Amino acid sequence: MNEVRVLLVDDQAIVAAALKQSLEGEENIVFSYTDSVATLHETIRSFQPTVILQDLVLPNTTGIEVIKEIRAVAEFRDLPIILLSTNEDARTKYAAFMAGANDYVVKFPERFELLGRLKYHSSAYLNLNERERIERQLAQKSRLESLGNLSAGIAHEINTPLQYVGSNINFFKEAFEAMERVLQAVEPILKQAEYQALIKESDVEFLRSEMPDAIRQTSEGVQQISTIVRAMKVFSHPGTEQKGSVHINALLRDIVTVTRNEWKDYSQLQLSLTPEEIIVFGFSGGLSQVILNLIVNASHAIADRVKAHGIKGEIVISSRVEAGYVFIDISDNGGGIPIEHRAKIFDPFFTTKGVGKGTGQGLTIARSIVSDGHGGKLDFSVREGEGTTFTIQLPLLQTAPVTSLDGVASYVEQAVIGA
Amino acid sequence: MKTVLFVDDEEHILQAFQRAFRNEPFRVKIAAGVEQAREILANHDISVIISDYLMPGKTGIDLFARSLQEFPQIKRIMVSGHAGKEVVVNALNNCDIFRFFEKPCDERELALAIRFALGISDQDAEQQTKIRSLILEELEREEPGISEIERDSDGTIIVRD
Repeated sequence: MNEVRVLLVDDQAIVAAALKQSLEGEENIVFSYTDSVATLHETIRSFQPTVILQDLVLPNTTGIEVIKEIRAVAEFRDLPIILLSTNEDARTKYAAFMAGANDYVVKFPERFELLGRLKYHSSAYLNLNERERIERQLAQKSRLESLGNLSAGIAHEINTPLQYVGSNINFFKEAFEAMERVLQAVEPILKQAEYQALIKESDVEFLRSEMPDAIRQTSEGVQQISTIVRAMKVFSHPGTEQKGSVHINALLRDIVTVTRNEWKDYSQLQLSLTPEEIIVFGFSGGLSQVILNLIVNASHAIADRVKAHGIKGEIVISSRVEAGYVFIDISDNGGGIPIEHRAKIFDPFFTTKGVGKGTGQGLTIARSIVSDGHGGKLDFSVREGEGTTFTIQLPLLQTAPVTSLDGVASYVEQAVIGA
Repeated sequence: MKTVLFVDDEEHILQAFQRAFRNEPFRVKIAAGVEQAREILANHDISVIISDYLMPGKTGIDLFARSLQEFPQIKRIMVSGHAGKEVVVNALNNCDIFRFFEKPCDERELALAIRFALGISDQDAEQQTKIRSLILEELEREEPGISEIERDSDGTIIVRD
C-alpha cells in the first residue's frame, strides 16, 4: 500500500541506470524511467507514480516547462515532483518552485538523501489522497442523508392525496358498476332511435367497454405509487428505526407479495424457506429495503435477458441457517453480472441503468444496512453466463416454530394454495 | 344507527371517506379540524372518532387526549401520513387508541375496524374479511375480472370460459 513509485523523466539512460542502482535493494520502491516528454502524461496515468524525478536539461524543452505542463492537468495537481539538476543557481531553484516543483535535488544526490526525499514526498502524497478519499466519502454520506430527508418529506406529502385518490378510484368503480347495471336494465329503451344518435355521438359503447380497464389500471398505478412511497419512507429513516425481532421468512413472503408486479411478467419466483421461522435482531425496514432491492435487481436482469434471448426467467429465494448465521440467497438466471462491473457494483453512484432509472445507490446502501446495521455480510457469486446469486448473511437470534403470528401474507399464501 | 366522526384538515379526504362509507351501518360526520371536532363532540352522540394526526394548530393526539378525559367511552382511531414511531407510541400510551392506520390505507380495512369498534362485527370477522379480500385481490391480479359477477339484462349470471 505504501509503495514508493518513482518515475524518472530524463533523456539520458545512464542517469536512469545510476539512479536505479542507487535505489536497488530498497523494499517498497518501484522505479521506472521515461525519456519521452511527448507521451509523459500517458506514462503517468499508466505507471501511477507517487513521486516524479524530473531532469532539468532536456533536448527540446526544459524540466521547468515539463513541470508546468504536468501541473496544468487537474488530476496531476498534487503529484510530487522533484527537479534534478546539476545547477545550484538560486534563480533556477526559484523558477523550479514557481513552476510547481515540490523539491530540488542537485545531481548526483547521495543515496540516503535521495531515499529520504522520495519517501517523504511519496507518503505525503498518499496521505493527501487518503484524506481526499475520506472527504469525498463524507460528502457523499451527507448527500445521501439530505436525499433521505428529502424523500421522507416527499413521502409524507404524497400520502395525503394518495389516500383520497385511492378511495375515489374505488368509488368510481362502484359508481360505474351501478350505472352499468342501470344501463343494462334500460338497454331496450336505449335502442330506440331517439337515443341512438346521442349514444353514437357520445361514443357511449366505447366508454362502457373501456371504463373497467381504465379504472383497474389506475387503481394498480395508485397501489404501485403507495408501494414506492412506503419504500421511500423506509429508505429515509436509516438511523431512527429501532431494532427488534425480525421474522425473516414472514418478511420474505411479504416482500415477494409486494414486488410481484416487478417480476411476474418475466419470471417465476420460487421460495424455498426453512420449515421453522428464523428470527434475527435487526431493522425490519432496512432489511426489507435490502431484500426488495435485490429482488428488483434480479427481475431487471432477467427482463433484459428475456427480451434479448427469450429464456424463461427464474428467481429463487431461499433461507437457511448455518453455524449461528442466517443466509438469504436471492438467485436469478439473468446472465450474471459482467466481469467489468463486478468490482464496482457496491460503489456509490455506479449504475448500469439508464438515466433517471437508477441512482446507483441501491447496493451501496444495501451493503451498509447489512454490514453496518446488522454486523452481517452482503456478497454475490456469479455463475458464468447463467446468473447471479446475492447472499445476505446475518447473525441468528433464534428459530421458532411457525405460529399464526407470522403475518397475514403467510395466511394468504397458504389459503391461495389450498383454495 | 351510531355516528362516527372523521377529523382531517384535508377536505378531499373527508369527502372521499363520506363517499366510501355511504352504505356502511353507521352515520358519518366530518370535521375539518380539532376545534370543529370538539364542537361536534359536545353536541352529538359520537361513538368513534377517526382522526388525522398532523393538522394546523392542534394534532390528533391533542384531540384524543381531551376526548379520553371528557368522553372515555368513545373509541379512537388514528389515520396518519406522518406516522413516526413517536406518534404511534404516544397515541397508544397516552390516548389509548383502538387502531392506527397509515395513510394511504385501504378504506375497506378502515371500515372493518370502525365496525369492530362499534361492536357490529368482531375481530375474527375482521381478520377473515381481510384475508378474503387479500385472496380476492390476488385472484383478481391473476385473472382480471374473476371476482366480478356478470349478469345479462334478465339478471342471469353469465359464465365465460
